[in-house]
Amino acid sequence: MNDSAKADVKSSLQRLSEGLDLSSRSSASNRVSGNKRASSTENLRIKVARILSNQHATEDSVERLWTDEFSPRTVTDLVGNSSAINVLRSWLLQWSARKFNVQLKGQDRKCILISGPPGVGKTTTAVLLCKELGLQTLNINASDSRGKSGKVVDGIAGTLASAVREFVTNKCIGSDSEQTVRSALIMDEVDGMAGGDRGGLSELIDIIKQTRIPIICICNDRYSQKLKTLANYCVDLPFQRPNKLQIRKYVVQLANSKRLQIDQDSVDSLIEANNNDLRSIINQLQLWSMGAILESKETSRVKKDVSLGVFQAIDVMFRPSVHGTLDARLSLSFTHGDLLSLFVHENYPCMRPKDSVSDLQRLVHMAAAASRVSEGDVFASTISRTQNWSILPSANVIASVLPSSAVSGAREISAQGERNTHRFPSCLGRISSKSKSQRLLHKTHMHVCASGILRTSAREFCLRYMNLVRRLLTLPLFSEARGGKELAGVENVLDFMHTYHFTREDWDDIQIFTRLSGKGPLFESPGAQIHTSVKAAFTRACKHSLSLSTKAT
Amino acid sequence: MSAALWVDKHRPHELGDATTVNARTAKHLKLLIARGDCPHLFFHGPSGAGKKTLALAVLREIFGAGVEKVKLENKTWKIDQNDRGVEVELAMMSSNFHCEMNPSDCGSKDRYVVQEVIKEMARSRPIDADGIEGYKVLVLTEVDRLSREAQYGLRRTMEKYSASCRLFLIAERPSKVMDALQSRCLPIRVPGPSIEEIENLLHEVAKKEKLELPPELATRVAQASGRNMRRALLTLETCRVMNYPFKPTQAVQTTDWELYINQIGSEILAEQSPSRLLQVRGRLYELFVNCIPPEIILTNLAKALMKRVDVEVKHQICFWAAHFEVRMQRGGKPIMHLEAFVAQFMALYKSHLVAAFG
Repeated sequence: MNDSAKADVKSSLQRLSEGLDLSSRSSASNRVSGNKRASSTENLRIKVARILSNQHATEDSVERLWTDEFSPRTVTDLVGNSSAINVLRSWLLQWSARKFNVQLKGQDRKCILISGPPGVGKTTTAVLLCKELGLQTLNINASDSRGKSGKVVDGIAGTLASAVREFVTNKCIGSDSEQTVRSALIMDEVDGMAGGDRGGLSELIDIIKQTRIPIICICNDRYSQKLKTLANYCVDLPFQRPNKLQIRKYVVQLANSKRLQIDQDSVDSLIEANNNDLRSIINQLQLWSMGAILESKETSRVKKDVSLGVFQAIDVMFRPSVHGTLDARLSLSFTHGDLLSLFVHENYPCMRPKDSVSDLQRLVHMAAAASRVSEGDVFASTISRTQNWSILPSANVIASVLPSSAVSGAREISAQGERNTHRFPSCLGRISSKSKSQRLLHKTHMHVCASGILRTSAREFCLRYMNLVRRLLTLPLFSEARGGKELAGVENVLDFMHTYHFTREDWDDIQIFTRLSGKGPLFESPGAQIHTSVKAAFTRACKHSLSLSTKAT
Repeated sequence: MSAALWVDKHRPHELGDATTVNARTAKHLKLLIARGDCPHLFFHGPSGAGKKTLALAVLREIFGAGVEKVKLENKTWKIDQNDRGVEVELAMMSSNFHCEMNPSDCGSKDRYVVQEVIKEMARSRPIDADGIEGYKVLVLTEVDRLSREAQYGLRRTMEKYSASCRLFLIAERPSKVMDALQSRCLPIRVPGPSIEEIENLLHEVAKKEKLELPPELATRVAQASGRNMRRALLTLETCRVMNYPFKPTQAVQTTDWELYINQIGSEILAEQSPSRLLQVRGRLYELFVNCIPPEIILTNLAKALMKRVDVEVKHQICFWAAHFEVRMQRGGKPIMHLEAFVAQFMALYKSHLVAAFG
């Protein structure tokens, strides 16, 4: 341990003195908070002394940020993601041995895409691993190339492009032979790239096609729309947050080395409160150690300040609670905004209120919740219409908190075989299919209006005409009604369509937006009852008459 | 023209043609036009009473047959609002003399339409062959569905451009059109025709179509029409499509969505429970996808429920239907209000049942 630490410090000293600060910038940005830059050689010397004296921290020594002090120096220092690290290592090792083809799938791609939440050590891993394998790295961060100047030409596609291109295609960097790869390119925050540098991503893909060295791309959200094309050229390597066990082990180790007394429960609550973020756990530990009070009271007061996902949030909203948690619920509804009220609307009938004995009571509670939901909608649309955001708290109380408290209780399934979990609001999908059919209706109405005969609004057209129109468009084609003479019906339909300027697409569209799902003869789709041969003849006739009418005009 | 629906085929085109229904109003209008100038007109009355037919007949009376040569445009208007550009797309039918549009199609952007689009329309004045400046007519339909802001905008436009532009406003409910607008127009009430008038109309159309129409069926169709000419004629034609020759006892066809709403009503009456509410929610969504306006669903549903309940419940149904209709007008997601109405009804109906039968 001592030897490796010494070597490590030595190398970092060397790097500093050489001013070759290629890789430390990235580790500073990701693993360590900002003041790494401020770390002077002075500090480093102190550290050397401290490490040499086997970590006997003296009372008068300058306290440094623990996150600095314990930032990983070798790959083995990293917590968690060991399998992902192994994949990356073997990918890097075998890089030059492979024959590359852009179309290749799986491990044989020329670029690797590391993805994961912030603070799990993606950049650090990449940098440390490259160092371990003796690769020289060029680290390009999307935030470097954008920023204050705000010029799009400064990005990957602009002035940086030639430098990067040169770097990845240069044959001379590997001095011994072409086979050994001596350098690697790390593209940090590629998901931030699309916003600032236009054309950056396509440039990057171009670079991947040409590269002679491995390229490591790093992003937070692998499924981002922006990265869709890039992902096709990369090996996918997701990083996860280290799990509780791994962190616990590390934290206990750390506490021991700092001679902190901390019990198991506090560690657990600490980990939970920080949502498995190692960096903030270390910061918190340091804070405690400074206060020098580490009683169980203190740790039990660790407040969970983690944003809940909306599904968890809706669970909390509906949970009956004796405590005055209005504030907690209100803050949840602030976090999730309108979506939470949609969730409440979707799920309130599934709740069995805790104090409802009879069915009637349950219905009364349900009606109260429904009424609040409807009132909340009035508030929401008032806000959006008048932009009067000062009523947002009341709106949230009415739209989310009140209805969910009115029916708070246990969730129940309403039909057999249904999953007893809160559902995503179906309202959103329904709204989109509604607007689709509205669009189709308006299109059809436009065509009909063009005929000049019909003089009514789209609304009346849909309400009153559609019933008859649909029958006139389909009934003549039914085999039963015509008794085998349905082909003659095609003429009638065409005649009608001609008069009202319906097109063949309108015919299909009308079937879509006049369809009601259900059982019985009322709900059968007329399109399905038409014989295939009749339909084919109809389509042919439509095409024919259409070509005639275009010729005429 | 032969394949056109009866309701379109037998529509009167001139004021003189309107003999069966609205004959008096037509005569008055004819006299008004004969005097020369024409004020802004505000046609109001229930659906299917003949408002638009009258309005178009007035246009024909003023400008002659030229107004029937219309072209349809789907125009995109770019409007510069202080800091951002707004794009409004609106379909309009226009001839050389008039232009017809439905600004409420634009939803919340309707005020830009009345402010900008109409302004632009009104700015250009047609000049006839003698060099006399005439005026254009703007026909605005569904004025009652315009937002309040749009109505304010319209008020200004009407005054400013009254020299070059006349407005024909068409609305179902005058109460939703602000007084300031109404007072700038000559209001023309177009009442829904009486049942007898509709019956006569049906017989007249049947005669033109050379059909045998049993008087019993005509009466029943007229009664089912709710004093709506359009509905009566379309129903009659649907009956003809479904079954001809007519039988006096044959079923009067109603639209599918009306049947569907009635079915929802009986489902609610059969069972009041949360799971039924969820089922009804699905059905309501289905109606939305069929482009049935939510306020019509609410009205019909309330009527369907009222058919089969006791008197005291009826009062409450009316109360709650009105209550949630107001919210629906002010809110943005109709499903929530419809559902709240259903939930409210379930609770009160259940408590009524429990009180009556224990």
